[in-house]
Amino acid sequence: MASSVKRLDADAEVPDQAFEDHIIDMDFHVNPVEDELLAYVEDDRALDKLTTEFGATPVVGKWDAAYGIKEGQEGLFTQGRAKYAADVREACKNIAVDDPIVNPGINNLNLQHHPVLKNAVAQAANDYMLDNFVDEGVSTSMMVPKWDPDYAVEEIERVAAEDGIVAAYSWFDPKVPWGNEQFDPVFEALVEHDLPLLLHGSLAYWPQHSYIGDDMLTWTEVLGFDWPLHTMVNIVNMIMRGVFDKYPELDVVFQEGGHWWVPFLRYRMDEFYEMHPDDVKITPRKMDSGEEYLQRAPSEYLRDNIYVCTQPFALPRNAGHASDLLKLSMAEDMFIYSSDWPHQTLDPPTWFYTSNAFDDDTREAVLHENAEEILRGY
Amino acid sequence: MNSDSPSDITCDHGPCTGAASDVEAASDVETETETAADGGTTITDPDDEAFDREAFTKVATVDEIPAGEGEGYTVKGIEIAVFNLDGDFYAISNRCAHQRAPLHKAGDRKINAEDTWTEKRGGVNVEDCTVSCPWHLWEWDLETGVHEASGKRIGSFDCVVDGEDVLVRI
Repeated sequence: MASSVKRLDADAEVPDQAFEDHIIDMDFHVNPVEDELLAYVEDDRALDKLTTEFGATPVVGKWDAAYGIKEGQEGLFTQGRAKYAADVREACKNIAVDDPIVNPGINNLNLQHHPVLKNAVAQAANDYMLDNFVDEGVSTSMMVPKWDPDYAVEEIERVAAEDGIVAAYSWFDPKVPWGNEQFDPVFEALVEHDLPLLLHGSLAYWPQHSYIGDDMLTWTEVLGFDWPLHTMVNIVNMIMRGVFDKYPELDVVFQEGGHWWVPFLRYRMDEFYEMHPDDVKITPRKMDSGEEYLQRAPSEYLRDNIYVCTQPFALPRNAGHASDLLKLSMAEDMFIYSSDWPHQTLDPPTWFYTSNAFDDDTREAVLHENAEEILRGY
Repeated sequence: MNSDSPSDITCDHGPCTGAASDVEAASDVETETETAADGGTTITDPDDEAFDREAFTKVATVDEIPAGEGEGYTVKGIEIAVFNLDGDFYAISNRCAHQRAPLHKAGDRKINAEDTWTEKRGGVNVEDCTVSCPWHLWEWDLETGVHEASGKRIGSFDCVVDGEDVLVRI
């Protein structure tokens, strides 16, 4: 009896069809080594402090994601470490990603104490990305320092005009939510430059900065649920505080904040708002505009202005359940594929080809169309 | 069927080098003569006269799978990964039950590995007789195919060494 034999591609790690589709990856981290990053710091006083005592981004000694990973801190580099454009291209080749949107993955920067030193690192990160990625033809999301909105605008004005900058990258955290009016100048600058705001989970998020945090002891609690909870809080805060009535062209993408909670937000926001909307008129932006209510139902902003990255996807195994959940979650309007390369929650684009839950329209929306709608220059 | 025919199997990597020959652990697995799912016996000791050589397919010679590494093959349409644990060979489904990562890539060197801590994407653990998935480090028992934390199980296959040949029964 003859055997059925098929030669496997040595490099392909995802289904063949993934290589035929166009795939944009909205969350691809690069990690410069510290010496090379700090070489871009322009202010000598800041550089002196960043290189003598603490390093660029010291880590606070509390709960750490590394506890949950068999290889400890290596979880941050489970797949390797991309420093340059060639590294990114090599990594994407095996997982069928055509167009990675890279960001400077210095995700504990937001946690650091000193605003001047943090700004110096942000400036260096953006210049590193311009030299090593934008100039090499890799689409890049520039870093936006959340802790200093004035400097954030300054950086946007300095960097955003560069071709190849397609988005802005910052973080959500449990401190000041993005609905706060202090961020209006940032939103204005982003809209002016036609850049979507990508908000990634921040390592400022770890339990040391929340009241119940010290009783969170596991990876599942902290990374699995603390981030999504604060994503929901930030989204509702932005919507109810009128950010998208004032900036209807602003698009915001939440990265690593989960997505299957969308039905909960969608229905609960509308129910609560329509039942008792009388406090909307005394929010600051509405006080300024004189409007009494939101211009639209809350769920409509969710559908039109908010996007969520899919990684880690955690698709239900039952295709019928998965299909229903995709519809309820408005995946065709809100979901954007992300790999999170090289971290421990990596999501190569396998889910979209191994489940019958996806029709072609939904798959294409998630894998590239939704990203193309909001990225500048696409 | 000529189970030694090179056309029956496909190596998933380029040319391999290395050497290993100890088959002790694999040959300890079964001792009773029973009927296997494929109609052959369950004898896995090539030196046993009841050993059914025709029920196995040669996937490699021992020196083609370096110690501590794995190679991927399709045998009769089934993707498997064969690992060499210091001379003991194990065959397991090549697809992680979590997200279908190719397990034979476990232990591949990372991009810019010199700037990371462990240098490899997952890999085998000889002492525990396991392989960690290259994507998310799910740890699979190479003898049973079980992932302890979830209780999930993937296929594991009889794998023996006969002389210099690594044989697998699908």
